Amino acid sequence: MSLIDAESYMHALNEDPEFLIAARFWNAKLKFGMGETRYMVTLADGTVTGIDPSPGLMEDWDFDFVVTGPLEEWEKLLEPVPRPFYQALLPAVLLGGLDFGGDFETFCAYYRAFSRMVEVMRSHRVTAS
Amino acid sequence: MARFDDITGRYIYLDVDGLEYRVYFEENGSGVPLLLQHTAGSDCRLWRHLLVDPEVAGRFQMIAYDIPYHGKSLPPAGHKWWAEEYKLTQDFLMKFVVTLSRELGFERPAYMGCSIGGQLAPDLALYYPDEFRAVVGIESAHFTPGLNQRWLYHPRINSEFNSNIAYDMMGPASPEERKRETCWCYSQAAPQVVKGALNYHCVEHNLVGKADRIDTSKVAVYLLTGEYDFSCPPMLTELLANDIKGSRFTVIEGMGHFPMSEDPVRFKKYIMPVLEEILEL
Repeated sequence: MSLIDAESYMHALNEDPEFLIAARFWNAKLKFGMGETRYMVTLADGTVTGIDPSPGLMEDWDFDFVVTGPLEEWEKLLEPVPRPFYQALLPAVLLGGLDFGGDFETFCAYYRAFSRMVEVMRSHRVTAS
Repeated sequence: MARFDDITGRYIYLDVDGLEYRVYFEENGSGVPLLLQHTAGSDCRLWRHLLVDPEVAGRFQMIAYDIPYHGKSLPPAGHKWWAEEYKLTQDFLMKFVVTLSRELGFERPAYMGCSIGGQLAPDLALYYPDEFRAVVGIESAHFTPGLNQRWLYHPRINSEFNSNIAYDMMGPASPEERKRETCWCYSQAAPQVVKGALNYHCVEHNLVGKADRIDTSKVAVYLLTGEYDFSCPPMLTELLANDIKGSRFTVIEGMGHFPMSEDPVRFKKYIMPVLEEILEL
């Protein structure tokens, strides 16, 4: 089960004025592990240039920052009005069941960009048919 | 015709531990003196909505101040503060507020603070019980060990990081404009101030084994915490309240770490019953 449509999510981010400000100058590869599904997000100079919904084994290891967790935890994060401590990525890691890792300096420098990615994901999540 | 705000801003000179501080405060209202303490790295603007509330201003003389290094209150005169790392200490903060209160001529005012100000509420009740008639702690706990503070003041991370964390500490349904204003005030802190102020909040403040010595017959204690505050979850405040016999604890539903600025309209519904009780003390 997928919670996002990679193509529409990428367009939504690249058309989001707040994300574009927060992500300025950002060159990075981010990995989102949502249950069994992996997404590799590539950014170049502050723009999302690709979201690969099925990265191969070698690409799967090549990232600057990773956020992973069971699908149920991502669903809590992406609720329209999230429950306490799932309003953003950081509390969902500190007090919830998501995990992150990688270059923490990048995480701090682009903290708002990460938060905005979650907010855009929340408003563009795929609902079960 | 010009439209003026009801708030008046002033400066006062205070001597604390042999150093002179030029301190900014904003005031409005008349009645029982009520000192209002901001959060780490921010300033008295967080209280601006309460300050102009006519129902509160009609019964309280509200004083919202900037502690040194914050807002418009500069570092001390005659001291090479630029050659040392800023670290707010518990001893200084308590002395500062008591000195301000005395210099303003107050006798047993009420005190209300959030975050570092919330931690200060029970500390004042424990160490200066004769100085205040009531303390209101918003987002208080026995202790709150923080995030890895290295990143809060780092040459490669700008201070936008601190205000962006503040945004995520608020309730998702609080008004967007109020949340952004709260973050704006945060983003204006000098780079080292948030980390320095959290020295008190995350390192020095610790009421484990002490909170039960607070005597609420001398100073009333009210504790309120936002449901979404992940830096001080309500459960931690409840544990503190359980240790302070006679204190009252309230969860502020839907809000996070900055109730008075992130949703002042809904905050008033929670704080008015507390203020009504303080008027009766």
